[in-house]
Amino acid sequence: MNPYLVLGVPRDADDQAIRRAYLAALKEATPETNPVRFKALAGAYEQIKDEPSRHRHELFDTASLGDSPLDVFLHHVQHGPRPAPLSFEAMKEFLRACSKT
Amino acid sequence: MVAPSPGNPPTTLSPSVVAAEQRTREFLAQAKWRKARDEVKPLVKLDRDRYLPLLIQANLGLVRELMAKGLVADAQSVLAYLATIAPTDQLRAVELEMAGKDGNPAELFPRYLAALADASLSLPPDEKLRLADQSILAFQGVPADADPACGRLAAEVGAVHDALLAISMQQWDRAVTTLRAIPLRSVFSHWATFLKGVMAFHNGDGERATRCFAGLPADSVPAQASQAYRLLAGQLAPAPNGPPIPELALDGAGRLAGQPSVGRALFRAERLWKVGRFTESYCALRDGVAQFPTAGCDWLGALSEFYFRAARGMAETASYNYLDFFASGAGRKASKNSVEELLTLRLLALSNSGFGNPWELRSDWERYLSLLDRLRGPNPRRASIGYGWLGEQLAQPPSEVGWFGPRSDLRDAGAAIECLRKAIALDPNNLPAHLKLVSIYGTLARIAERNRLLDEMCKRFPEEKAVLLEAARRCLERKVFVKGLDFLERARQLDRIDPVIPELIVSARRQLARQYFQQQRTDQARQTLADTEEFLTDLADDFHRGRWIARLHHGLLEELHGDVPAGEVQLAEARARSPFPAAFVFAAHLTYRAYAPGKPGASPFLPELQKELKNAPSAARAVQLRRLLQFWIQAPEKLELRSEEKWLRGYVRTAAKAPFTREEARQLIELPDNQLVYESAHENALLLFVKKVLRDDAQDPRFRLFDHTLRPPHGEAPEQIRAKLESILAEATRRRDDPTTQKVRQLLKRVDHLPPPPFPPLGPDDDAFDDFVDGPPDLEKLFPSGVPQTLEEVQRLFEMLRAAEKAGLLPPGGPFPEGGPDFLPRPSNPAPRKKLSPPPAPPPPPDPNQFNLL
Repeated sequence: MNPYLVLGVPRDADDQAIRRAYLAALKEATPETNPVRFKALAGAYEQIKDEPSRHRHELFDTASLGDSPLDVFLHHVQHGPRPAPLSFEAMKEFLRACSKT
Repeated sequence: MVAPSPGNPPTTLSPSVVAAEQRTREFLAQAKWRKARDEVKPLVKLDRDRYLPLLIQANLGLVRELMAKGLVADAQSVLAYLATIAPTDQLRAVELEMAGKDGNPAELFPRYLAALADASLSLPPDEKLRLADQSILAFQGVPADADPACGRLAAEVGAVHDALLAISMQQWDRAVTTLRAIPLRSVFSHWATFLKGVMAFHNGDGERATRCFAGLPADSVPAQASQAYRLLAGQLAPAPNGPPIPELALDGAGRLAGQPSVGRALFRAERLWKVGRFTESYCALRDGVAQFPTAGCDWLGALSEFYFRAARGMAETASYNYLDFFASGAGRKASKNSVEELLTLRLLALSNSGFGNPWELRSDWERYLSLLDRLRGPNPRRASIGYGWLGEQLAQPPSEVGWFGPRSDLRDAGAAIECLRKAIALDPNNLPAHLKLVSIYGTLARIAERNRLLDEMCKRFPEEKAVLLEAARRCLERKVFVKGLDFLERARQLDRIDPVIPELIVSARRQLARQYFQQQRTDQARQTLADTEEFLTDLADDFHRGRWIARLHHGLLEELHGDVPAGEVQLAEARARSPFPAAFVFAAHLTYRAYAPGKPGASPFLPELQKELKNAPSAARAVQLRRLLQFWIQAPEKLELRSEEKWLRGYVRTAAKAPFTREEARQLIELPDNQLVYESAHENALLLFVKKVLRDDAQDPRFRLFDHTLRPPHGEAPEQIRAKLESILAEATRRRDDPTTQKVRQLLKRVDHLPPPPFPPLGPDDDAFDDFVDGPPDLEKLFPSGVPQTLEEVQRLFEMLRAAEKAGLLPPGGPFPEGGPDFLPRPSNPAPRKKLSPPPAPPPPPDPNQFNLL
């Protein structure tokens, strides 16, 4: 999974910002309470914790991000920031689309 | 009206009628309205009361289906027919739905409310549900002239709308308060439940959201909409062999994720991916989503990256086609956007790094780095890492197997040096680039440049252990021991745990002591050897730092250059500490040869060695002796060791007849065999060990694997080899023998790329020469200067050809004209990776005397 997405930092974040985000995320996902998320956070931090690591990740990382397009989409949306509610107009459009099936 | 429940059909009905009724109900359950209608229509004449409701239900379903497809005229004609058979009440809701298709919601909304409020109209529950949903979706305010019943319903509809608005603005408290206006038994209560579920989703309460969504009526609009939320909450996971995720759920999920157009494109892309149409899957998203591919730090960026990383996990043919698709785009600069171009170049370069054309690799990678600088802004450190990697790839040996096994020349040494120099110029602190360049200079025997670079590195990286060790090794090579020991001591200050450092220190001091002995500076020599004591171990197979080895070296040096009696004392102690007599004598023989080079194979220890090698040979001792030989094969002295290897082979053959354990046999077989002297008898000797172990345990996977690898595969078809390996793999997996499992998996990957056997497969009745179409090869013609007669002559010929291949002097077809005789192995050709345009002319080789760092 994209380490920037896991840690919730922009691509141009520096070492301090990344470390801050990592430590903040660890508070909510300890090995005891959420081992899966903890492991994901630790792995992500290792990949981008300093500048050479970030460069190597950008240039050479080829780890698969999922088994299929849907798998990648769901994984990143589910583990990324929670989606905001649709606007009123967008919700109207969506609900009307649901009624046509 | 509700269709009568199946129950037990009346006994007066014939079996065919019962079967027809059964089929009708099945079609209705599957929403196959036409089939249900056609099935039940004849039955209505037999029992109208029983079957008319089914006919009405089928036609109602058909009307809705036609409306959903946009076939309003057809739906109207079916509705007209329904009007002749169905009560008006049943048609009210569907008539309103039909009107809603084209009608003005402002006009229809009061009619919906009126239908819902009319108590005399006994609408079936599902029809009420639909009307309720349509009322909400009309998004109208309370009609001015509404009667109290309609007004109350309109107020509930308004509450739903207000709650939707509050949720869109994340005003959760307001939404909760608003929803209290909807009673539990209201026809709109499922909307209240749905909205509570939506709030719970956005507030991270997945469990509550799931509970709310689970209670929704199955055919309602909220239930359809909830699929998107359930999907994003992980409650609607795609099952490997289960039904696909509904397109509507993906559509909603895409909207929630901020990309309204992605849902349908993703639905199509997923279906294509699952059936192996990978490039079409990519195109579905490329064409369906404007921003795709993107480099954003979001799920769309991740989805983009997914496609450019997926090739690695594909089967070979699929991967080739996939890469070819991108290559044809990159080559003609037909990329959709700069991100696609960037990711394509990266994909092609990384995919072809191991074995592609080096010029294409360089071209793709340099274009990638240049584009990256343009898109992200220049970054010298990043570019340095990129060029360092490129230099490393170009410095790899070519992937094609040569005539004599893996090749040892470099893919493009000049380009590799150029790239590494560029990497260093971009970032002088790029240590890996420095180290790689040192290694390349060493491989190319450009010693002066290497040493100059090392000197610079020692100044730039005074605290880097790798640099100090490299400098130390080069000093030891040049016999500059004091300086080398200084570097080693500095490295040891940085890392006191690395075992390589004390090994090198002991070796350097030993060589320095030898130098002192040769210069008759015996006291200094002895002090230098005494200084190694702190690093010695008592391990029998530590041929660097073992105490008995140290005594042996000291003893021999004293005997050769110092005090002979003192040397004898040292040798006696070495003999006493050695693991067994043959080990001591073998080690003494080899060390003597290094210290007093003379005729290969000769030393004063030779007679005793030949005697000890016949004394109680065993597998355990064979392992030790072979390890000792291996140590000396890799030693810098580069002794000629063919005789010693031959003696040990004889030792192993004899040891096969003595008792041994499985572990000893395994260690012996897994020792590297350097083939200094090729003898098939050695493999046969090892096979004796294998045979004996398999006699006790015929399924032992490790030894079955040994049996396979020690025997030549000639004559076995790939299918036979695969079946054998898969059987071994199954047993290794069952026994949790991980090392064997890994090795078998590697071999299985190579099964498809086995070179054809040099001889055509022979049957039991075949005469060997009859299978040569042109008869046996004319050796006189192939070797005009004389056909090799002895094994040594053939070996010399092989060494000459190997050196010629290393220097790139062999023609592509091999050393013989016209392809050569067909009994010689052919080099394997790699599968073409992509359609290539003719490569540009290679750059001229760099002038080794020029030091252009830019």
